[in-house]
Amino acid sequence: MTATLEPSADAPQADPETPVVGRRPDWVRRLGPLSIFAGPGIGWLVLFILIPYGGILVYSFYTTDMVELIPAFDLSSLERVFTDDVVRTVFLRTLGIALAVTTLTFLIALPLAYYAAFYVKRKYIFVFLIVVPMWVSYIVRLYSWRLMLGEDGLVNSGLTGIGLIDEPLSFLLFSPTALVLTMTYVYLPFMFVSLFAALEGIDRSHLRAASDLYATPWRRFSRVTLPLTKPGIAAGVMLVFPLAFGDYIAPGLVGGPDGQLFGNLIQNQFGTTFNYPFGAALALVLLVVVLAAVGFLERWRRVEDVRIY
Amino acid sequence: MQGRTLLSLRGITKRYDEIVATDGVDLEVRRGEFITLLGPSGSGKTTLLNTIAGFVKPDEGRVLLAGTDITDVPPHKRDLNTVFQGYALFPHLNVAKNVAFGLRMKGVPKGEIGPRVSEALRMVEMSAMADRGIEKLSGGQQQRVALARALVNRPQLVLLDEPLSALDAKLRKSMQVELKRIQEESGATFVYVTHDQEEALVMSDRVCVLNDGHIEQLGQPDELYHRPRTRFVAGFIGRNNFIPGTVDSNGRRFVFESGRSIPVDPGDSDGAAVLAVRPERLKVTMGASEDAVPARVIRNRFLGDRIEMDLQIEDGPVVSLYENGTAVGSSDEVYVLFPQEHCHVLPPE
Repeated sequence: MTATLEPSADAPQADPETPVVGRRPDWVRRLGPLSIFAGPGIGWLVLFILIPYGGILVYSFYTTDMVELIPAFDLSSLERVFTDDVVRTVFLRTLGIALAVTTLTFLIALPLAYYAAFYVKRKYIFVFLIVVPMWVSYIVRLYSWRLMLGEDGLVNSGLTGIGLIDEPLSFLLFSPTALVLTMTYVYLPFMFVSLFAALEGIDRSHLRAASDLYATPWRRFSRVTLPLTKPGIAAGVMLVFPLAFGDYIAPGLVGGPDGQLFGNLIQNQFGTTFNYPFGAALALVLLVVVLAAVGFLERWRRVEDVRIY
Repeated sequence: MQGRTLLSLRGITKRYDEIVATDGVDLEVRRGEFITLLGPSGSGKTTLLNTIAGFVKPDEGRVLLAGTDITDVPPHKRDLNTVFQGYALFPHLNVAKNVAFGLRMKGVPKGEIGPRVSEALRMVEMSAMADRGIEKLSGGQQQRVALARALVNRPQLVLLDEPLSALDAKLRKSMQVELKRIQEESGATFVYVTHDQEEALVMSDRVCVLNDGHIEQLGQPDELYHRPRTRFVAGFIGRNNFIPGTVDSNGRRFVFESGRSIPVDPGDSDGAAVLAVRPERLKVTMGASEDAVPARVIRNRFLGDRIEMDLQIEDGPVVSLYENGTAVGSSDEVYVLFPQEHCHVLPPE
């Protein structure tokens, strides 16, 4: 009986000294056999991210004679990006509006998400109701805001109806205000879902521990709940800020002449003036801004202790 | 030394819908003692602990801490600290900042916080880890930090909610000794919740056995072990043989279902009763006597330092006992000796 359990003396033993024939290089073995599943993803990245962006980079060095694109290594388009006053104005405006939209979505979504995560019993119905507008086409939602804010819109006719104003407020539509309002509405669900997921994931015992350690409800929120929501805040900002910064449809529909953003500038180069090199150079700026924002958020997210002491 | 009452629970009742979690519990905790709330899950021990901490508001009853009614005081204003099950250390703060949290919230002067944190970490032997992140600690280390985080505030009362349940058996044993040492060194009063009877016996000055939301018995560990007052306590703490029967009119004899009787110390019950006697107290003899009952050996189990025997007493149930000497052969006719001082007559359930 027990004999069969003993290791047989003449069983083949692995010998570390014996060189294995046909051994693959280290980096191949480290990838492992399952790395084949990464193939489609990598293919996608190369095909739809690396190659197009590579193309943009190449285009930005080209020149143009109004109709034709001339391959060259010419820095004038990139130079113009940094010297053109219009670019500067639009860039700063876009930065301001994108930051305003990000801040507003955060300020609106935080109490909503907090309420949903901690006080609503059937929270997924609540979440559903907030997310459901996202299923309606983006364009339709923008047009609905035009209907609301226009001179014959809901807000103006309501205000004139109750006699609060004599004439419709024209600044409601086709203005930066309208743009911020609309974009905040459109991007709110992204921020909400990110914050909700983070708040929902907080271990309730951490909140009890805070109370147990003499933290008032407000300090419990500012020193435990909010720091623990950090990954959700970073995720929400990472979604909303780049989307807002690059948006050119909302500015086109509700922004008016003073509400044209960086995206419109880029769109014009490709669509109207056919200045591909300049458009490509502007697009690179957009890319750098978004990457910088993502990099900053990633670092901020890793900071151990958001100090509020 | 242990002295006057620190914490009083008076008639604590808490219901969750239909379920009564605690049913009018009265308990006095003395200053400086290590008291354990022991019971199976659903016995109400955690509800009781959360009531003391302030996380659960009782439907009826009052909680008094050092003579002050704190029933309606929110958790953050109570002078007590909790070591949570799973520790609940803040993942966004390192060890020292976790420990300092309570002092900061209380507004202790900055210059005082550093030394007190160091002292608390020294007490739990975690000084070298002050700058570590929480996720880099082992379970046992997290346990120590959680303890330091509570003790650093020098609370009158420390509540511990199954703090050792996440540790492996070996570490648990050494932490039991540690906890007792720390409790004595700090001089704090510990209210400890566990479902592990061995843990309760090892560490506690007193143990409060809970079942179905009420206190079954409150006493010192040896008292609970040697003189259980209810069948639940006798069964929950250590091993016991239970033999159904009756007590005769003057309460001095326990009558088996077979009609044979043995002398017992007079107890509370009369009529139907249960005899509880521990396996290590029963003896096998060859000769008849007044306190011996004929039995038949069913099986022997060799346990190394002793032999566990199962015997069937005449027409009655199977009892287990431990024998140090040689085993008696199976199906042999022997006598089981019931020593009077170790036989507890308890009310039937």
